[in-house]
Amino acid sequence: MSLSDAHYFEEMGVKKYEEIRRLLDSREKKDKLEGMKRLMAMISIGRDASNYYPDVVKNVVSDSLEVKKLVYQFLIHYAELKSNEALLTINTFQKDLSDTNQLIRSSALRVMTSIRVALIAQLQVMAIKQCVRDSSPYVRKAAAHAVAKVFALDPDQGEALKELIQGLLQDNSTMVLGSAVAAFNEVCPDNWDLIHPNFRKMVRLCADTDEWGQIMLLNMFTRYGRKFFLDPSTLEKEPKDTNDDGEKKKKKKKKKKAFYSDDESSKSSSSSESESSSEDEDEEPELDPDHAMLLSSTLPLLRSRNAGVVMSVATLFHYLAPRAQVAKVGKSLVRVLKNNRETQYLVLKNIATLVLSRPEMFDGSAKEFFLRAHDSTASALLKLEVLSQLVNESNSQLIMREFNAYIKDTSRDTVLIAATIQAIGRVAAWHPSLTDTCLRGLMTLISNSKNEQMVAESVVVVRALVQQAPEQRVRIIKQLIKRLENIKAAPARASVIWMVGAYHNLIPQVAPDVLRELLKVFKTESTQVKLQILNLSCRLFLTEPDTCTPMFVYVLDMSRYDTDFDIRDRARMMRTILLTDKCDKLKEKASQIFLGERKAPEFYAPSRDSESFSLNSLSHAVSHHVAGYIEIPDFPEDVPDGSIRDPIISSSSERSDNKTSSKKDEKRMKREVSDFYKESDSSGSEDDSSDSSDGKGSSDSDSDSDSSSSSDDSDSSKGSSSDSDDSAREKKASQKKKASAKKAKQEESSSDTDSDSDDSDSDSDSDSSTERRKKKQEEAKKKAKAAEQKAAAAKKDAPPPSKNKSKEEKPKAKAQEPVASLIDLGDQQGVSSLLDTSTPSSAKPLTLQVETSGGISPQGSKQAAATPTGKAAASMLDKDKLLVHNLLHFANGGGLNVEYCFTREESMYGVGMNTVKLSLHNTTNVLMQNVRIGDKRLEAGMELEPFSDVALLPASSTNSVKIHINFGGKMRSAKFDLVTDKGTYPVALTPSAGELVNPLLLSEPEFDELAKGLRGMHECKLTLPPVDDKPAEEIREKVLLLCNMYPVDSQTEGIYKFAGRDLGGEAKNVVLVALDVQGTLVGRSESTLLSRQIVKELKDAFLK
Amino acid sequence: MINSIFVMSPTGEVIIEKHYRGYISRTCCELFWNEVQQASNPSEVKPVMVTPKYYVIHVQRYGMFFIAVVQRDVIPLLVTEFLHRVVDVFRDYFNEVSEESIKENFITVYQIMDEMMDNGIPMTTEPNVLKTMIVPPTILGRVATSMGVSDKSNLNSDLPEGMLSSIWWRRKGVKYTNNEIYLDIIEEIDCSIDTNGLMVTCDVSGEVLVNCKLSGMPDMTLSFTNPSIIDDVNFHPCVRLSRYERDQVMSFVPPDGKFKLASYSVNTTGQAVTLPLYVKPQIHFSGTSGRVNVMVGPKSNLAGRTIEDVVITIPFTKNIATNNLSVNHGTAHFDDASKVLRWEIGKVPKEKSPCLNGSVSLVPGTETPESGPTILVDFKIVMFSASGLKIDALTMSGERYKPYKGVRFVTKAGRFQVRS
Repeated sequence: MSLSDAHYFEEMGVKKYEEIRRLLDSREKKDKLEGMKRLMAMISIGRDASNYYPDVVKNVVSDSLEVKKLVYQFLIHYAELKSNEALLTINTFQKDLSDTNQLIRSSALRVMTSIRVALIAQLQVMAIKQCVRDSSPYVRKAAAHAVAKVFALDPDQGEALKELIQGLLQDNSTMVLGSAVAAFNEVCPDNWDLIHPNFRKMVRLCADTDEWGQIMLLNMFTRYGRKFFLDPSTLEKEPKDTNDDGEKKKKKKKKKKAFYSDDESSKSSSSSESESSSEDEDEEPELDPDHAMLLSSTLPLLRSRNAGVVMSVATLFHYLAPRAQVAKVGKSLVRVLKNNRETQYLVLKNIATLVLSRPEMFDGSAKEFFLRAHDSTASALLKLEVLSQLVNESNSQLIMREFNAYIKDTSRDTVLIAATIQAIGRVAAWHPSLTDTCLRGLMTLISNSKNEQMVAESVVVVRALVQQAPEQRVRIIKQLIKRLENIKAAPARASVIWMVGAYHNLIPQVAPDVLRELLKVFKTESTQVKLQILNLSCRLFLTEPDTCTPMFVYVLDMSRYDTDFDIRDRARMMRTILLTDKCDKLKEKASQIFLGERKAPEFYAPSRDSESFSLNSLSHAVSHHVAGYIEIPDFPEDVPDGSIRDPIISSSSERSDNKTSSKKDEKRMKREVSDFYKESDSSGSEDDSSDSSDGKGSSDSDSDSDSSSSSDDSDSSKGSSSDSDDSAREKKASQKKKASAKKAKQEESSSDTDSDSDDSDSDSDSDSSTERRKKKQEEAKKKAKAAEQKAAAAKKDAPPPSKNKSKEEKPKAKAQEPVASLIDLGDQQGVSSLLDTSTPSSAKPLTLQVETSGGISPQGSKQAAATPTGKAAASMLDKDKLLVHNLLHFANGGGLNVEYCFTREESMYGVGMNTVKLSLHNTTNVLMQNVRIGDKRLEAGMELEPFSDVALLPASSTNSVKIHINFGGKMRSAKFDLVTDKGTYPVALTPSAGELVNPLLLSEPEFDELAKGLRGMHECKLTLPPVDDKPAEEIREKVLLLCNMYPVDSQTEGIYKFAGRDLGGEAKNVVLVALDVQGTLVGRSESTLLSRQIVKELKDAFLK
Repeated sequence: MINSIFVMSPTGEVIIEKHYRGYISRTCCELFWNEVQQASNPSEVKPVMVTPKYYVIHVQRYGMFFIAVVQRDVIPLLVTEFLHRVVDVFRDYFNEVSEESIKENFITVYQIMDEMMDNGIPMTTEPNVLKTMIVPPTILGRVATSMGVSDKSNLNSDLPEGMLSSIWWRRKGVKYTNNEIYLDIIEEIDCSIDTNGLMVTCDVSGEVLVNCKLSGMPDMTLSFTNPSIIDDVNFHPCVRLSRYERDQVMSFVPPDGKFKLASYSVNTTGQAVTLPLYVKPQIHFSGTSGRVNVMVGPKSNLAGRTIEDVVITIPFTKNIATNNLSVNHGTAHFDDASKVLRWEIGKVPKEKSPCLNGSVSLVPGTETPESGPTILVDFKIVMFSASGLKIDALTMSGERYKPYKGVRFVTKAGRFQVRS
């Protein structure tokens, strides 16, 4: 027995074949394995093993993974040939798709979708659908690959596949992303709507994706950028100056972010980041922030070990970056050149094209392109081309010397030497200052070299150069004529003779003489040369008929009996036109026919052929159009709207505020958010305790105001703790956003510049000591008069980011006003007394306001930034309007009153989760402690993420917390206990059907298309009394209040359409609701039950 | 994307075929092989070849051809890089890549190729992850299987846990009794010297190769005393880029086993690198004969290290008829077919300079070369760094044990050529 498997390749006798069947039928795993090995060997050798297909199919159910994998490979190999048998296996795969092992699930999907039989494309789509939602990214990755497989098999499935791709593109796993984009590139490369909402996330995650994914992403980014960003060169009106460098460095710093989630660097880098990002804004006001972000976050990928990634970054920069930035890429490309042979060739091929338009990119790297002895001819030719492009004043000496060395090097291929001479010719033509030197060099070559080919090449190049400016190079022509005797190679001789003919007017004495000399050897010349002699004599005959007619006739006579028909024909033609009278008309135009001026040949680089193809594509490499080639589009002319990339529905001001944070790694974001929960709670409770110790008199009003300040504080500390990792800038930004009340306060307290007020703001945040307050209060006193106006001004000044924000502002400002006036009154009073005197009525709204704002402030906005598809439907409605239900009445809850409302934010615990805000209100006048969720009594398929315990709930205070519930797509109650130190209270939280959907943005045609597919049992129709009396707004609002859906922009009057997507169900079915003014209410969904419920709820609501 | 991959032996025999997007006949490989045979040297074949139906992209390693067949437009570098990665993985698994080793392990080869790519898109390419999924063959395992003692599968039935984590390049639960980590810093001098003995180009580039046998999740930090020497660098994905940008320190959680941590180029713009040895060729032709004299010797800046494995290769012009060459050290071999002289010097002796002397004659009637051929030089110096790079410290955190750390510098000739 042999230890190696190599023997399978040799001992393949007929006998062995017979055995295979027996082995495959055996019960022993070992035998099966042996059989499969033999079959794989047959494939390897190139023999047809398809006859064994039926025997192999039987083994698809094998328990052994090893056998199974081999069986899979065999099946795929022959699936096309044996489609009927292949179909037999489908059942097994379908079963495996729900295996508990992710490895098995993914390979089942892989095999199933690799069976290229169009019949089962439907089934494959179903299978992919299932796997797209798999919990394992490994399986989802396989699903992404499978999408492209099915598309290749059956392009008719395109629409269904597009939807799958959409889902995959939303995936946050870096493992999936690359493959999802690969599928996108293949299936629907122009369907940019799928990319827009995910664009920023992708840019952010690009650094963490594997190298192959990076290549796919970069490729897609390049095309995307050309389509949706403005041409940076149009923005670069004035050239950037020196500080450009500094900026670059900072940009480099910025990139590290996404790599590991290393905390060590976060602090320093974040501060530098904020700096640079603010600088960015100053210096490049016009570059779209997303554009800038794309460039800055892909730049570090130049450090990749993978040449493909480096080249892709270079391509991206070539097509998208401002000119100054592209140069950075050059160095990395040069480094990559030192890799293996194949990389070198392919990168050079791209560089040869790049250098045509951007020679400055490789300034100073000319040496890297010097030929090495190991270079393959193909690479060397490209190098020569690049070198000839790189010549400039400073390096011309160096490069020309190098060219010289190549010409002399005998060990080189003659092709290379010829190419070098051509390169010299190009240099001479492009750089007038070098032309003379080059010509001199070439002439020496012609006169000294013994290598005929070299001489020939040189003469041809010299001829082309002479053609550029013949008048100045008469001397060269004469020299060449002198050497004519020694020039043996036919093309070279022909070139020289042609020149004599073309420029005979420049050398009037010489030309006839040359012809005379040539006539002597006419017989022995090659065809090429003879033709040129004919031409020369003809030209001379026309211009100097007196002296040259005999010679011309002689040549014609000689040609008449030439062996070459071309020469005979040409001579006959000349004779007929010029010497006979047969065609007078032609004779008149003889000089035009035979003396026509020729355009001088252009010197162009060989790579021009590929130039029209986009870099880094196969088409570019082979210089012709390859199937599946996608052109890089041109930049758009109009300013593309940047807001298309906004995660669906989020106002633009929010975006600019969150710009810095949106660059963060998503993971980190999540972590932060969860950290933040903990921190805020703990710090909140600390504040509470400190505050309560602060408060001296413990009267009712005191505790009221106390709690107000404490919740205020906890609010601010929430902000600061969540942001502690981040830049101060961001901190400010987020604070500005969420606490405009504070802004009003600031403005009151200090009428200084903005930065000042910001400072004081952060001070007051971080420190709630009484001294600070005193100080502030004193300041406030001075400016009390101006305060009111300021506050009003602040309201106006502050950009109106969202409705709720301004809403929030008003009551706060109101709440502030009495305080301010109180300060005015009570000069000598300390803080505590101030708080004492602030009437409960003025403090109360403040408290409430803080609570309600809790719903949208930090977490809310952060999450919206973190999850691009933020379930922000609620923002279409006013937050306050969201329906609030009672969960626990204080009568039953020992004084604890709990209300809940669905916030409609995307839950960070996963899709399918609803975020529910609980307002815990302590109605008693005693402190409650340890409010938390106790036992959960959930039905199967439900999940509940409790809030972190509320340590203290002071008397008469309210605290908002959030829980996340997965109802599993059904209307059932989540039952759990609420526990305080006073007791345990069972509650049941029942969702309304309208909350079990996710909003879905659809256009009307899309809606109608979907609706068409949902008829019959998927449809549920109810009638209401006509609603035509109500305004459209009211109807829309009513529906939106009840259902978490998006309205569809409808063109048809009198019909309101809404779309959503089943939140919890396995299928993520679309739910469509339509209501016309006549009162017909139609719900359509594959989740029939759900749509029925929704429609019913709606009906109830309208009947009310 | 890649349709199929073929592995072709040095003799043009297809030994592995793997199709990712439906069956493609191996006849397209024959077209490729024709091309190879027509070329003067296999390396002259362009990496991208156009055939009537397909595009054939290939890489050459270890004398073998790894061929990818594609039908639609694709990023060519993705294909070549992937093929190289496949070969790297093979080498990692079988220690060598040859026709033999691939045939011996062809089942494993198929398993690997199946896992590395799906539908023509690279899937799992990290050796550490692959090795947990598909256990590399061992002699012991083979013996056991062939004796029928063990029928242990070489496929792991579970997905490696580490794969989905943020440190996907490292296996979980690595255990060694001896915790060791070895660093090889290998620098190559690429250099060409013109006929006058002047340096035309000279670059030094280096690689940091690591062989890591450490348990658990060690966190390593490698710092240099003179990091500014490093000009441009690229890293294994495990290196924290941010840390390097800030402190010029390579901080990383290493994958298990052998890997390339970084490759860098040395900043040579400031001062010219002094070469460790000199080669002075004098080759002149006149009429039908030529005189050859090549001297080799060390330069004095080696700090006592000896230059080893010195080989001088002189590719003479094809019209050399006879030669009469002798050396005073080492052995010289003249290959009559290719007219290449290979002079193996070995260690350069301190006391005398090795010298090649003699004459050659040309085939009468052929052209006399105007200059001599370009001479290729190969050498190796252990414990010497051409760039002068010095390691400051290699520290570990995250684990309790004290690892054994070994560092070795090697300087080699890369593309070192002297024109004569």
